[in-house]
Amino acid sequence: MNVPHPRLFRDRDADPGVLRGKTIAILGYGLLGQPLGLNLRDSLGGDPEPARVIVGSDDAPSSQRARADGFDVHSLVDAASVADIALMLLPDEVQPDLMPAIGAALRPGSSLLFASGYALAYRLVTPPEGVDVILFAPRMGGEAIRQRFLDGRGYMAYVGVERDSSGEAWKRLLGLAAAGGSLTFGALEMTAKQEVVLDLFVEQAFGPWMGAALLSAFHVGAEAGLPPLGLLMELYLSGEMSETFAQMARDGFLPSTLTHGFAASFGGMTRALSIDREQMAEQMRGILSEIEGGSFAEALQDEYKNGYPCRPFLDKVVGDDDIISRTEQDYRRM
Amino acid sequence: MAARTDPLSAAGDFSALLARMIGLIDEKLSASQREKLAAAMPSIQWEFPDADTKLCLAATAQALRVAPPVEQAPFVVRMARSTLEDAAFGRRSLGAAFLAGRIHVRGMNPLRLREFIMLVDPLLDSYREAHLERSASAPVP
Repeated sequence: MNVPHPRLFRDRDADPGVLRGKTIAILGYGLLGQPLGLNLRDSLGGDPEPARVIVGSDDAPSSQRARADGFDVHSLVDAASVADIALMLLPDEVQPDLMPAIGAALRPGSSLLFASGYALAYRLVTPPEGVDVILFAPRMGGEAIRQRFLDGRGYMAYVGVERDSSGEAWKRLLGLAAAGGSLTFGALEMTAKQEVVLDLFVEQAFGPWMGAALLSAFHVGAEAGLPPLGLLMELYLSGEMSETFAQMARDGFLPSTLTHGFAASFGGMTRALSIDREQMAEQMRGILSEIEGGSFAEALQDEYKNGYPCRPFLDKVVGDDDIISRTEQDYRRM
Repeated sequence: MAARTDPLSAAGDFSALLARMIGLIDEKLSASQREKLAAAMPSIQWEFPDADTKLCLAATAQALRVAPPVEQAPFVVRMARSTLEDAAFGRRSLGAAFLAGRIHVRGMNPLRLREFIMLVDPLLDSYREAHLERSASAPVP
């Protein structure tokens, strides 16, 4: 349990001049590519010797979106070949197939940035020798990355240098993190393996319990005759729950539990005692072991190589005509 | 008028119905599907607590067969009999039942999901067919 805190970087740690005159290629213009591309262009455009931000994409709709946003769009390989810094922003599971061509196009001394540690940590890609390998992994969805940049709030990211070939990998990385809008909030140092394990573990160990608790509370209440719309309001629809999470981030997890009145802490704490936490922890340990050992990555790569055979089933479950979706729709029509 | 009883309501009948369902699934799966299922989940225990029924689907590359239930099965699907019947007869999807917490799958992980999904439609079709066969042959009280 005695793990030291990682280093925390802020705007003051970045050298804004390090990207001057550089060509930055956004490889993939999707959920992350669009907001990061726009943030970088907005941040760096005012410099007397501005960095040039271009987009590499082999996907027609993404290319069209990038052009509509005013970017020069090239193929992935062409963009990589002129980049001083290339941002690998393609989905995790497709990177291994595209890396050989992109890697061959990169110039020695350039930097290759990954927004997720997945492909690096599981050794699914081999970036070419002579190229920096850096990690900048925002802990925020694409829309929020853009909005928080525009609001001047910044957003948390994980940063790390996996390989420093140019001798200035850290400077470039922090320059990018600052220009991308993160360092106003702060970025923590992480390795690629730490980043991906943290990300997948919380998605797979915490997320399902939270989702299952929400669904069970809704169905138990609805079966007992409580109004479905009232249940959804209590659970998330009113925004009270998201305010509670914001308060945890602001005031601390335990202090925030005391601000909902004595009845809430008395009832909540006593009920929490009766939850079988060991059973929960045992399941979480199993999940962590599968993530760390690489078997989840193996399953995800297999899913990708076989054309995502599980996706229709999962989409069907989510898109099913269920009482929660119907209740939400009724509310939106009110 | 006397209430008509469900001719298949007894646990023994239900077990027989499930056994027939497994036989029909076996006919529906291709050799390669059977092979994949056997590799990922050689044994799937089905538990229906409301019907006091448990049985095991044992999969090999050659065939699916019914096996006796075991205490610590690695892969267990638990639901009410009505959940299975509602899904098989299109009254409520398995997805909706899952969201409502009416299906519990112990031992599921991302490595097995594809093989499990592969089994869902043949299973529901086979249960419906087995039910209709048995209903047709049951004497009217």
